Amino acid sequence: MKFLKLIPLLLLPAVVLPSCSDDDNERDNTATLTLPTTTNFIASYDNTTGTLNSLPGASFNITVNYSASTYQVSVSDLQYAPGQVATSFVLPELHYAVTNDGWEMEHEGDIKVDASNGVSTISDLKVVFNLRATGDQTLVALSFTIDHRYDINTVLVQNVFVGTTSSVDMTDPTDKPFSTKNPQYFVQIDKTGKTATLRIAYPQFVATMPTSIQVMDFPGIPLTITREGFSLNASEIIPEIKGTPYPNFKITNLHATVETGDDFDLTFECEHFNRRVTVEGTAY
Amino acid sequence: MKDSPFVSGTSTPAASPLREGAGRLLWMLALLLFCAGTAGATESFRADSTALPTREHLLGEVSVTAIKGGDHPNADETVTYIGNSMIESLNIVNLKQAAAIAPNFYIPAYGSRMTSSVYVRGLGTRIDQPAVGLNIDNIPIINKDNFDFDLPDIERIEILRGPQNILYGRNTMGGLINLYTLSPLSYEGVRVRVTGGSHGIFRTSAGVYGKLSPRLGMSLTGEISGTNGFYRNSFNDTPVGRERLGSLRWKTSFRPTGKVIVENTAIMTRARQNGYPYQKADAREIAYNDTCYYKRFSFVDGLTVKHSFRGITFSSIMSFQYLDDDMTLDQDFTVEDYFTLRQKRKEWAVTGDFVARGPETGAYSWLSGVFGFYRHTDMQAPVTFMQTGIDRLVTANRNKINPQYPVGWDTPSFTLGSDFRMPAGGFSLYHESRLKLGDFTLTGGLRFDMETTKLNYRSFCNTAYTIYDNTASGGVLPPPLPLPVFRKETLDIDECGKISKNYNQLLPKFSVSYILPDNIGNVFASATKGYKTGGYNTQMFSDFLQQRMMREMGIAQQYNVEETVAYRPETDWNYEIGAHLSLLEHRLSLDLSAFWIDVDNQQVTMFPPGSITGRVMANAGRSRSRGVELAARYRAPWGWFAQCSYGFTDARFVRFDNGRADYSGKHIPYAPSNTLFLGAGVSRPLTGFIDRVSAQVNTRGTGKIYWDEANSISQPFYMLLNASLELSHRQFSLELWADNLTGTQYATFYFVSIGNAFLQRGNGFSAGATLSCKLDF
Repeated sequence: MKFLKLIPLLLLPAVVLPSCSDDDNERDNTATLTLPTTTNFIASYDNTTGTLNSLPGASFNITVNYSASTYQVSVSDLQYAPGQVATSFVLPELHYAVTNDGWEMEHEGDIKVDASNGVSTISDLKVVFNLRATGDQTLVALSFTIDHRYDINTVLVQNVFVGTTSSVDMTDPTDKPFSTKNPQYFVQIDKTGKTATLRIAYPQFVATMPTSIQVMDFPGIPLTITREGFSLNASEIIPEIKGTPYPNFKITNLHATVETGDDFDLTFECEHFNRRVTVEGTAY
Repeated sequence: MKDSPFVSGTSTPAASPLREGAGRLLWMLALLLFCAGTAGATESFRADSTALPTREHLLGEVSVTAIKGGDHPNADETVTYIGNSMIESLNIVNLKQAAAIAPNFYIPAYGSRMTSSVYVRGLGTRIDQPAVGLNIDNIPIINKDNFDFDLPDIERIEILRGPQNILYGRNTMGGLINLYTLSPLSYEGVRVRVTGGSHGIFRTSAGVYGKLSPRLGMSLTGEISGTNGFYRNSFNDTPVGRERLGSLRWKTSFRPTGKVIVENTAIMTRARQNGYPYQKADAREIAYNDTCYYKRFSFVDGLTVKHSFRGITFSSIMSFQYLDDDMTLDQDFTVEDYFTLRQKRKEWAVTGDFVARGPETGAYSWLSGVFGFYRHTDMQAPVTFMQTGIDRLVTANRNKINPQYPVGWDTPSFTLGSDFRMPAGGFSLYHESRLKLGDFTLTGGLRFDMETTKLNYRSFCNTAYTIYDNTASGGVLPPPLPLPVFRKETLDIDECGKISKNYNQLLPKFSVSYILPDNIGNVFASATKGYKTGGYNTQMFSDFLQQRMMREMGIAQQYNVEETVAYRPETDWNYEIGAHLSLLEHRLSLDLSAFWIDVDNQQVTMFPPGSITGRVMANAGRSRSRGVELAARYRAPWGWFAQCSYGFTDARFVRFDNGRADYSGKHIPYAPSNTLFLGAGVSRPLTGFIDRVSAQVNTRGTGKIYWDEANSISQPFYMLLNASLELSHRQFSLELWADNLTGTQYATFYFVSIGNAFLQRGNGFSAGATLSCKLDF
């Protein structure tokens, strides 16, 4: 995987695993990432009723043992159904595997846990960390199933995506398409979980677009939590650069779907440059 | 481009009638003197003017050439010697005047006394590290910005072409100039010269040379000079290029014993200049509104000690150098208020060169040495943006992108401040061995050079702007006033950093020389590695800071300080064959050479992308230069003397793509492809009040010079005609001289700033008189 350097404005330390030297467990070669409830939302799909609920975030502790190549996940304040009392439980240490993009732990089998509210079985556990160019291990996905009924997907408030940005002329789609891998995409979900800000670093939708724009923000895009992650939809939105609106760069028909820890697909139209833009990216 | 004498293919315009007449008169006079000379003269004209100086001529003087070159200092090199007679007849007082005589050696006169851009065989630079070194009385002048000052009573100049790094160290990749002033042990007396000429040209120098004892000589020489400049600034009708210069030199030569020589030279100079005569290339008019000046004070002291012990000669050359200069520029050179640049610097340096030379009596001779230097520079280089610059370079670009929320600056100007502290130091070890095998001499040399250079920088800016709400008009520009305020912003930037670079170089040299039969001279071949050290583009910092400021506004190019500011060393391999011949019973001296130079990571001057000015260095990749040189000197038996030198260089980029364009195969800019010097003269004794008359005429040709990497604009080959007539009576002489007799128009420099192309015109016709007095003790 090509490791890109994120621009300094966009360092997102909240989901980054601290290095071993930051930890007191230097002798044990472990590190712990703590995710408070403010860093995520919970998408809970009830397989029995077929309903999807967007719920407040839970608190997670993920302890990595580098010597043993294991993760141990502790969950607390997890509400997985509307009106239900939040639960807490600790999962045993489970091995992770090294992948092209970082580390992944996938455990399909049942895990018996002693939960505070009576939850007894956790299955289909998946924890994915990506390795960034800075050497940081970044959590991009954490999901599991409770009692074979509730599919829990952790939707992180901060998400980074990289990939290919392409565009075609809206009047003449046969026009030579433009393509670049320079732009970086960041989605920050707000506290309510109803909207998000899409931030594009090094935005470039066409060859003639000035390359001097550092960061372009699209604030307040309506967000919908989905079973796999979330989606963004806006009919029209004006970007901001350093807090100043730039009406000339207004975009329309914005649609984005995110599969947590995996795919990022974005499309929109930019009238100023007369381009239809498509982004195919992955979590970074 | 419109017809212009500065565009290739067009011819130069006709000179004025007055100058035409003066030119014809001097040509007739020269012809008359030639004919008179053929009638049979009893005395040759200044026979020693360019004769190869031998150790006998040096009369016990110490020279770095003799210290490092031994008895046959330049048998395997190409050198131009300029003796005292030619120096006086051509009124040579500085480096730029001397360079015109050597083939493929070009120092254009432009800008100020700070700009000493030297080009040799296609190699050279306009900023930072030089490609050619300068020694004055053995003192290696560390800073190129201190190369250009006037010195009276120059006795001898040696211009060595090709890499001299082995013996002379850093930044002598293209060559070396050794300049020697008159020694009090070789001359005793008083010398006074007073010059007056057109354009307010004046020069007064006086020197006293004497021996306080048979072994101790001292001299004190001073000079003041100036000119009112050749051009005027049409904006305020003031002279441009006006300068006032002064220098004082105290030289001491001491021979405590027959085996010890001590020489000390202390030189203090002062320069005050106004204006840079840059005209817009299409308008052919100099017009700018902001002040331009250059002020400089320098002090250089060098101590040379030479001691012979048991056949080995030990020499030391130590120096202290101080430079304090202050330059300010109207950086856009227009009548509008874009921006100004100031560069204020204080620098001091110490050097030490310690040489041991073995005996030269046998077949094998050797030389070894140690060199070290330390230089410390403190510099402030603020760039001040003024109203027009802010409007057109900052806010216009920003408002074009966002007319609905345009910005306006809260102040009519702001300053991008840059402070630098640059310590640098180096250490070298070198050795050269020579082995004589019959008529062959094999030479091998090696130098190891270590250097550390640091840059401590501080870039700062404190300013403010306002974002207005222009949505009501739909983003019409210029907006209807008054506009409601959207938000006020301040920009407070203060960034510091350090960069450090270390450079190590191993520099070898190989040469072979063969003495031809019948004492007619020698032929040689050599291969030498040259090196020009890396450094930092301090001029790039204002651009860097501007982009930093724009980044705070959300729009900026990406700049990495170290990647942008630092440039790497330049190395080359110089391959040369040549001959030094003395023919026709030693009346004809002929120097021939052909060379091929391969350059790696050539440092080329460029302007950064975007619409702001500021010269930067970039490592071009690879380039090569090839050419030939010819220098001939003839002394006729009937008393006249002629000299010519010609150099041809084909210097091109082999590989140079700056990311915006590919210049591979293009000619390297600023270096001329041809240089030509033709000179002739005669001196005849007379009876009567005037007891001698001497005349000389010379012409100097330069070109074609390409002004940019794309080779889209150039200066065609041009020639300048100069002449003088001297009448002598005992110790006094009166010389009438004229330069550029035909008023040839030519350009010496070209650059682009904010999309405007500028040229500096060369000096036109000038004439004057010099009264000299030499009272020998």
